[in-house]
Amino acid sequence: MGTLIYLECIKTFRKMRTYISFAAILCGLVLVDLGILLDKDSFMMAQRWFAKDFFITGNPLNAFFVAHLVMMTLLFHIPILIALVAGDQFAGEATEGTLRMIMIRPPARRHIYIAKVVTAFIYSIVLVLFLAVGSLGGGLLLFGRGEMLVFGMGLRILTQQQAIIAFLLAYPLAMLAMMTIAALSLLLSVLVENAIGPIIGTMAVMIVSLIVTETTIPFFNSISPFFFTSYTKIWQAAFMQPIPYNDIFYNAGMMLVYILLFLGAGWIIFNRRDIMI
Amino acid sequence: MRTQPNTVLDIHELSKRFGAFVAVDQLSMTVERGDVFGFLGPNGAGKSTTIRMIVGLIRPTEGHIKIFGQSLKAQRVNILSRIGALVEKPSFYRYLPAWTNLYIHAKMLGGNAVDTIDDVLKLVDLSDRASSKVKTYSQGMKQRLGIAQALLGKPEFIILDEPTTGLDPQGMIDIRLLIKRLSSEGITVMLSSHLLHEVEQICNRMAIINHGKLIVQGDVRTLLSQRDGTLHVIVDKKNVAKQALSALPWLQSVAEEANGLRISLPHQYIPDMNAALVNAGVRVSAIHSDVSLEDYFLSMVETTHGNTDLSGMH
Ligand SMILES: Nc1ncnc2c1ncn2[C@@H]1O[C@H](COP(=O)(O)OP(=O)(O)OP(=O)(O)O)[C@@H](O)[C@H]1O
Ligand SMILES: [Mg+2]
Repeated sequence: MGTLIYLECIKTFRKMRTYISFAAILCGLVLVDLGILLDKDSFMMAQRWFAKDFFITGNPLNAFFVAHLVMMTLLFHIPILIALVAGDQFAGEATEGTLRMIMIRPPARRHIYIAKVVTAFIYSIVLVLFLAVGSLGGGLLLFGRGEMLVFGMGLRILTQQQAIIAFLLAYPLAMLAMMTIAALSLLLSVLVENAIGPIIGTMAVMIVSLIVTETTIPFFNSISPFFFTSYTKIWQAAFMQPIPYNDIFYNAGMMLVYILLFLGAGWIIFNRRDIMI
Repeated sequence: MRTQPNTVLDIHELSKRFGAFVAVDQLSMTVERGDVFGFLGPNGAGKSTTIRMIVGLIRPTEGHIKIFGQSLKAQRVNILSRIGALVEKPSFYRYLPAWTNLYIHAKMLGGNAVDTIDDVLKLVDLSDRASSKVKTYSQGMKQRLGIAQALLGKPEFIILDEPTTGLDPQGMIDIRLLIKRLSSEGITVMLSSHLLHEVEQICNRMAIINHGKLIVQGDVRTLLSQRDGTLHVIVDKKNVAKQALSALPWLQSVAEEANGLRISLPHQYIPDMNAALVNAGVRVSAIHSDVSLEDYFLSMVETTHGNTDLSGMH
């Protein structure tokens, strides 16, 4: 099993397209950091104004603030980068014909399936890790540390310690969210035998789900629990005070349920499939 | 049906349906240890579909497959680690070097297959391009790499689906020589083809299928000697020759033509006919056949379009 995962990692991580994602995230990071640097003064002013009733120790324009801002902006775009690689796991090999070549080797279909799933998950985790290191690391270098201002759902201030705990919770939750999207892409990848279908499919499902879960129409509110995008944004709760752990556990659990659902369906199809391509 | 220990592949009443379409129909055949087995059929006959079932890519609708005397269903891992195959056109990870592609296959095979990578590359003459990405390979090089892939880990049984497709004449010859060499090393080979002369050159046994059904199976020489045909014989004394031939009981017809005779007879009697002519003092300067091997193949395929009795074929 370890060997198979290693082989899948060779296939995925020696492919140019895998690094499009890292390059895209890097570009996003540089842009946000640069934008903040250039606009430092007006940023500070706005912050002072917002925070005039609060007492902040240290520089409010710091690594934590920037990393949070980056997360809010970039995490919306990362799903397409996830789909790019996870959606290619089966469909890409089917179109290239390499699936036919490897499926006549001794390893069981079950093991090949698991190896591909694990690889897509590794990629999702590494991508979020890259985002974390890039935004926090870059932020520390450029802006230093300090207490953290959190906008949205009111204004809050987190001590440095609280901020660190929040990030330690938020990144794993973001990873879980990206793994949920990866699982969806994997399912579509098994279902469709062309290279672009799973990517477009993932985005289409995302868009529809986001319309349902993010629009404040009463009818949508009642059906939104059935759409996985109502659970994938739970990482934001890590920055609340006090942290709503119950909510976080529930949403994380629901993401796990969706992951199992997508992967289970994918397995049933993959196991029965005649390899005709 | 009992499988003899020497039977490498035993297919029993194998069928595959795609919806209402029957691609393989109650096919039974056997490949024995040491065979170079030709699996012949025109385009769409069901060769690749049959091979896909043998290597477990698709599930049979009906029937059984035994390899090395074991059921494919029950002993899949054991069987697949002892066979190598190239099904339809070879496909590789184009962005990876040839060597890494073989490494992926060797690792999946397990055992010491990785140690055989350099050997198989040498066998197909790709050693000096081992580190080039597959996307820089020509069609013929990919075909050879596909065969190399099937040879990884010293398999006992190799299945090649139209291995000479896309190769130039020299490339075809090279592959046929390679197959002969593998056979001399004791490896059992099954190759599908729609070229009868290819099968005639390298195979000892063959099966011909069409519309998914077996038409005939057996020893290549025996089957080919049964074909009839018209011969053009160039001789100096036509009348003497005609007289000498008319005494032969198995001769079907003799007619004069521009510089010789047109003769119909079962092919196995060609040497006897020649001897009779020479004995009568006729100088034979050429014998050539009207019926190409391809025509023979097509006639076989056409005769049995319906449920024609096999014995009535020649
Ligand atoms: N997935 C499928 N759905 C429907 N029909 C199929 C499918 N796959 C193959 N067929 C049909 O099955 C028949 C046999 O195809 P197969 O590829 O086995 O032929 P073949 O003998 O390998 O031919 P060729 O010499 O062209 O490679 C063809 O008529 C083909 O159209
Ligand atoms: Mg074919």
